[in-house]
Amino acid sequence: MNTQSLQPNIKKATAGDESISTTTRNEVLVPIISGLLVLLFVYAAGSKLMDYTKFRVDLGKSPLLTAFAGVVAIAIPVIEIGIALLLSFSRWRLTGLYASFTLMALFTAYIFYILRFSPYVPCSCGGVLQKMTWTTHLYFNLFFVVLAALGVLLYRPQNTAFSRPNKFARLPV
Amino acid sequence: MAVPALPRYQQRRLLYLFYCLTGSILVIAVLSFFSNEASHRKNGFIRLVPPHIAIPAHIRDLHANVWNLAGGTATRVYLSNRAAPARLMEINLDLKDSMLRNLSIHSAATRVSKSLRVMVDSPTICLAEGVSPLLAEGRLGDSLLHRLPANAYFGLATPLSPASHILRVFDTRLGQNILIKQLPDTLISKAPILEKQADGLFCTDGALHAQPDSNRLVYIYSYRNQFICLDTNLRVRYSARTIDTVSHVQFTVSKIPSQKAVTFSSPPSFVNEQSCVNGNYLFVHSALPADNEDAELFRTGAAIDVYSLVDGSYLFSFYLPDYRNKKMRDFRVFGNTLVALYDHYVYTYTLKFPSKLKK
Repeated sequence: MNTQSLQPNIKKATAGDESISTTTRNEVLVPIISGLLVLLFVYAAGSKLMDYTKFRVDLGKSPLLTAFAGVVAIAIPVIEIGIALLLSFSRWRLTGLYASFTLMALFTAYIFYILRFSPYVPCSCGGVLQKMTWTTHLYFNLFFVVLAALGVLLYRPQNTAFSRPNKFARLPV
Repeated sequence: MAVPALPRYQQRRLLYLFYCLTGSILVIAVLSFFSNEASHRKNGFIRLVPPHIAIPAHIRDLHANVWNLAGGTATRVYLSNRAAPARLMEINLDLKDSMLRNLSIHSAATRVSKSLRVMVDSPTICLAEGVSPLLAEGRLGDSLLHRLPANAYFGLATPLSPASHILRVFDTRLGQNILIKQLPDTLISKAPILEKQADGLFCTDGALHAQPDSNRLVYIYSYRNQFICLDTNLRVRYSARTIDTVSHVQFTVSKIPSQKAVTFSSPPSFVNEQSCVNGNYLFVHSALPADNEDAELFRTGAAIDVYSLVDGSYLFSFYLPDYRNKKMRDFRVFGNTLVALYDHYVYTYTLKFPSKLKK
């Protein structure tokens, strides 16, 4: 009896999934992903700016960034806040998702380089992230890279009739 | 093939994501290219490496990486225990016989501290801890140390003779490290001998070696290619250069207000790591590879440069290879025996200097 009652449910769910997938993506998944990324970037930028001197000094010790520490120390928090802003406005969200993906990929590549090729491992990163080891940090970043990529792929299609936000879709063209 | 199943717009986005990924990796690749350029630049000096200078002799497992070199004679070496400062191990240079002593300090408690040093210049034992500050002295015979007056915080202390020490203290008025001589009732300080190049604290860091019998002191900087030879009354005999070309310290320091700390804000470039003196020779473990050096040989060993203390000239170099993938962490020379520590091993080498190069 149980199996009988379950089967239709499953069918219903899969059938329903296809028909509502676009709405689910745009209204639920993409905002959640964007929200998580905004939180990450605001927190990351905030913790860097709270103790800016330490961040700049730590960057200077990095084997890759010694020569550019001054520029990078300003650019990173600014870019992080910029991306958080892009993600917050639905108009710029797709751009923001691309930017998050690129920045997180950049950070991941940096950590990978440090772990794999660097003559020594420096210490950096602020707040809670400071407690992570570099390997944990690598997985943490990879998670956000995948998340941002998912966000980009799930984001509603553009430049097609059904891609517009719902309130416009209902209007006669 | 899952890709064809994706809608066109997702395929296009995947391609864009791929471009973004490639771009990120390229940025790191370009950065690493520039940093490699900087770290693999030629140092502009060469080493002379005559064969068969240091011949492996004996090895002994100390079972724990807690032993530091405290001193020695032509027949035995003294090891201090950094986890238990009251323990002193004495080993013959053939590394066969060993003996453990327990030091006791009269009217003072010792705490385990990173800055605590036990120094043995047989038969005198000296215990120095510059943060408290604590200075105590005794003789090997009874292993009982008496506390000496120590009025100044010090970074380094080296005993000269009973109750006479050379201290390196930070002079807040000058904003730099200076050397002073402490006698039972007086402090002797001369015009600053150490030369301030940057912050005064890190930039003057180095090692101090005393040879009271030859009326000689050697101060060697850690971050520049210089050492100074003094007499025991702090008069400069000469100042000489190590073979590398780093004549000015290469780092910047910053204050971090939130941690009330001063720290390096660029990777400090070490020039001279551990060093020691014996007879008329200064031995320096150099941190810099020479232009004529095999990178692999330098990476898997320690290059020791030998200088004459008569005039400060460079003589030759030799290598102490890593032992079981562990770097040599400290070394001393007693007579013609070199004693090196690797993790929890003590390793001795017999030194045979080329007769032409002997001075």
